[in-house]
Amino acid sequence: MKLSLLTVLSVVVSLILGTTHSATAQQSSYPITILSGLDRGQASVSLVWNINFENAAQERALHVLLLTKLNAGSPALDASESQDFRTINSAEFLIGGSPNHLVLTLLAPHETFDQVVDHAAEKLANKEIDPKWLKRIARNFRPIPSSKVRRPENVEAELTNYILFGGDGGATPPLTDVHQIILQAPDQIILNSQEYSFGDVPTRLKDAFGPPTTENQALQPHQPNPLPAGLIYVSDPEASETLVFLANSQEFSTDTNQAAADVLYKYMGYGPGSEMFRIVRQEQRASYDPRSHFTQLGNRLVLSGLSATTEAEIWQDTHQVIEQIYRDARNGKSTAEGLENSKNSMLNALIGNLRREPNWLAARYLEQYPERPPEGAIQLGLLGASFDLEVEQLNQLAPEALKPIDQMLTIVMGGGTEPPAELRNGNFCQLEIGQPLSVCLDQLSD
Amino acid sequence: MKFTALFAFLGMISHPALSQEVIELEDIAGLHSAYVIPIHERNRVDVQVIILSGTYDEGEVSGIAHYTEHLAALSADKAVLQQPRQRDLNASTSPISIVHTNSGTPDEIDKIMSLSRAVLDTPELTVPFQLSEIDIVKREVFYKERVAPIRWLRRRSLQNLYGATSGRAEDPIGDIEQITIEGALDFHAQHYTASNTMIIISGDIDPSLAQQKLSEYFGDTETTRQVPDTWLDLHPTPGLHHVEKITSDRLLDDSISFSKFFEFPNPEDVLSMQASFFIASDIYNSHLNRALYLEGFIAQNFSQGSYLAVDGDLEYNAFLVPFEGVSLEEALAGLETAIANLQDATITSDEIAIARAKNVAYTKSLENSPRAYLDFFQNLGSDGLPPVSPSQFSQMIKDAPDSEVLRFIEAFASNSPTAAVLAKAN
Repeated sequence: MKLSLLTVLSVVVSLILGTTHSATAQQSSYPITILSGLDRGQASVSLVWNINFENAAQERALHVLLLTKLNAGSPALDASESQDFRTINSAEFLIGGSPNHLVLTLLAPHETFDQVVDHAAEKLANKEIDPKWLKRIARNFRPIPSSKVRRPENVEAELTNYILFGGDGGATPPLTDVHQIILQAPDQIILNSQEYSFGDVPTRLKDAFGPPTTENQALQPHQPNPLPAGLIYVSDPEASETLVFLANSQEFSTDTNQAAADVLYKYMGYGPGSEMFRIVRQEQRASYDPRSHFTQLGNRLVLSGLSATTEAEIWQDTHQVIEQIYRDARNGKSTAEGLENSKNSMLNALIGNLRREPNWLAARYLEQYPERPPEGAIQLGLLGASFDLEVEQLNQLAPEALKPIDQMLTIVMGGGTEPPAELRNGNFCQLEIGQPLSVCLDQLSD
Repeated sequence: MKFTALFAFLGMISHPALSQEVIELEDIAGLHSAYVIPIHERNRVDVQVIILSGTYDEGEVSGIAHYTEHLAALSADKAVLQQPRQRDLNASTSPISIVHTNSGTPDEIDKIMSLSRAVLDTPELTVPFQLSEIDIVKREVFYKERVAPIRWLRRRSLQNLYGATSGRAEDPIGDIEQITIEGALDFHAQHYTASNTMIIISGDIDPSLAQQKLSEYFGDTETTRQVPDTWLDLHPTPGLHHVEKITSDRLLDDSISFSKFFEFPNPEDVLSMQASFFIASDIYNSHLNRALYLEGFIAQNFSQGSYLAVDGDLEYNAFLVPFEGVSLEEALAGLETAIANLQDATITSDEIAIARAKNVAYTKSLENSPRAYLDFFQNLGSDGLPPVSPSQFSQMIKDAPDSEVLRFIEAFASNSPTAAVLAKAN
């Protein structure tokens, strides 16, 4: 089993690196990069706009506008026909980005890829914005305070926006300004397929846009906002459940440390073999959803955490267990068998991203090469570091890869007793239900 | 001309690349039925044990089927792997079935079959262990109810539709404190019986080996009494149009849950009707989606689902969040009008062709997901019908007669019983 997994890995690595090595930027007014990672039979193209986002509201406005254009009717197809077209042709539109990029990826099987490209081009070239569709999508994208819903996904979304933009807020730019950005041709194009011949796809996509009306801005290096240490507490006396979330933002000094932290977080809270599952769920019967979080937000920049929703009256017990799990992992007490399984989980997730998530690979590529491809081979250091990681190293790397526990942020939301004095003595902030986390994050950061 | 690109593709997606044959196994001892579906392209074997009873069969206390599923799976793990809770449960409980799935490489077939066989044995776990498992069932129910309040609203509309809190209108939150070990063991004794169990073996395995292993592990099972689906007798009051208005702080947005019961007149072969049903539901869903969401802007969000029971009973459920400026009452009226408009709508052959193409594209999209395949197999199996593979379903979709599709749409548009919950977010 282990042998076959490694064989698969080595094939994937050679495909990715081999193809990108031979693929260099084509000589044109904009960079085109060819990557090769997707499953056979699939092809994708990512349109990349270089943007120095000022705040989360601006980024959100662009995502909303792109989705509006893609979903609303256009001269060729109304909204209903567009939806049928995408279903029948197995087309996916994926939107992603970073503080420096807006990325739209089109993904489809080879046999329909050409039609899907033309379909997207027609949608993107449409200068009309349907105000009702815009209103609908904007509402679905509105920030929802995690203090109101107590869901780990909402906590993660708020923390992500804090790290990248200082919070969910910011002035929403005028619609015309935002639209002007994506009416211009993208600054880069990233193609991804193992054997698809893209032909004139980049040209057809570029031709859908008007000539640039503004000068390209140089990308400004983005400084993340680290999460502060301390405790954020939201009291909801009506709640029978409480969410405990131990969070952390980290800029790793090496790719190896990042890969090691990824494995350690999987050891702590990814799937049935993890410590969170084994202890919090199976032994204590305390939570249905104990898990770890590990999301890459930038080059060696990661939001990580451990969370569990527990019966309100026992949240303090669960909190102590989560902290102990973290301490043990950081102190190098992880078992070799568990680490081996977690490393395989990490590599499986990596392979899954390479094969099925072209937006993920585009993001990793853009973190390394924000404006244009390199002259020589494309090197994604994290891939190599992940494959090279030795299980025997992990316990030794743990103290460096995982921050000390007193530098972690703890978030508690729900019912049960209030935090005891020893938890409130340090950096403490109480948040009202419905308030954004950034209120407390700002306070704790001062 | 608008659909040039779309129709150009219709001819290209007639068959998924993978082709699977469903073979009925003959020597099944006391089992309800057993099938093998060889898929040699995959280096894995999956065995699905489908108990042909689910939450609809629970009687007065809901949650028992779910709890029994946990005990059966954990007891099997204890018997075969020597340790319960060593792994997560790969089992699920739906209204009409409980499915236990065990997977592995082809050379692990004996372990997989042992685990599959053991779920039919009376659970043997210590009392403290079984009691503690109730806690995790509670946590799971609370978690799912909070994360998806749509479950709670749909339950209320179904309770109003059927005038009951059991059977098709379960109440897991209300009954959660009434779950007992004895209740689960009773449920197990009644429903985890050989004649109420279907086995589906799929993956990299030859039919002869599948038959051999089935005989080896299930050959001792004896024919038992068939468990009747009494919930099929629960029908709404004819002419019912129930509307309940509530206010809740469990919701982020004002919401409507709408349920409709209708019947397919004189159903003859429910298995062959499945394809027509899928095409028809796609068509009426598309009509309503267009009227309320894509073009009508009555709905901010809108989701729909339909279910066809083995006796031809049909159930439609919709969840709707009104668009800004649209009241709950206006949104409900819009939904009811859109359904009524279907009575006079002309369904064109082009429309049916598009719905066929969407369903075929769906089956093709399953190619890369073993999990999706398993869901596909158990979909019909849960009704006690022979499973259908994606490639067979593609052919069924092609063969489904337009006339049957239209009869389904006509039945849906009829003035049948409905219940709606209009929930104002606090």
